[in-house]
Amino acid sequence: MRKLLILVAILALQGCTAVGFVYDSVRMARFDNNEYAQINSIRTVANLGAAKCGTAEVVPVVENLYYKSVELKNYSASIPRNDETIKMTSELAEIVKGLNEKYHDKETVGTSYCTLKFGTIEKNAVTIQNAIGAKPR
Amino acid sequence: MSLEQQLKDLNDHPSDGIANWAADAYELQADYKAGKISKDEYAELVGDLAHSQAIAAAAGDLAAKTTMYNVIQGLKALASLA
Repeated sequence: MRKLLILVAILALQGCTAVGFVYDSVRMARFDNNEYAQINSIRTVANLGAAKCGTAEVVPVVENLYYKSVELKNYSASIPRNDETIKMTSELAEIVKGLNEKYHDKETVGTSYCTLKFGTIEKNAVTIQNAIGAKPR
Repeated sequence: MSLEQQLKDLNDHPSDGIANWAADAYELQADYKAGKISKDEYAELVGDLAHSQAIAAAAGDLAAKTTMYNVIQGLKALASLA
């Protein structure tokens, strides 16, 4: 009897999880033009900025990238039922923050490090753009 | 088993996400060993691998919700035709 009750409880919990997922899906945040434009901008700046690694010109690009990543994080955070996008944009802002700090805290920043960071930012921006670009209209 | 061998094994993982992650990690430790990046740069870039994994996981969750939403809309449309 006890085992049966445990089994029923487990099945009920799994059922609740499934219902919760369907409910969340129906109410999920819709496609947002501004959100999409902002991640596209970050992707483009990262794509073009990588070529400036190893030159003094990269500093304003890094600052711009950091501003844009924080702007997107703040924008997505105020949209209701937008949990996954908030998670993604927060993680991306952390990646860009590290790059910005290096250029403000250190005398010299390695070209390989810079290139790898821009590559990581662009790759993740593409992942985010594809995910939010497919949101329901 | 060495770290290099473990990363090489993960490179052949059937999941593209894990295989790509392992390829990035392998490239990173090779750059560090070759002296292309400093110790603190390496530490930060390893941290970025975790951030990237979290982004990939959230993107997967969002894609699953989007698919579920589209399926529900499709079922509703089907019901309105009947």
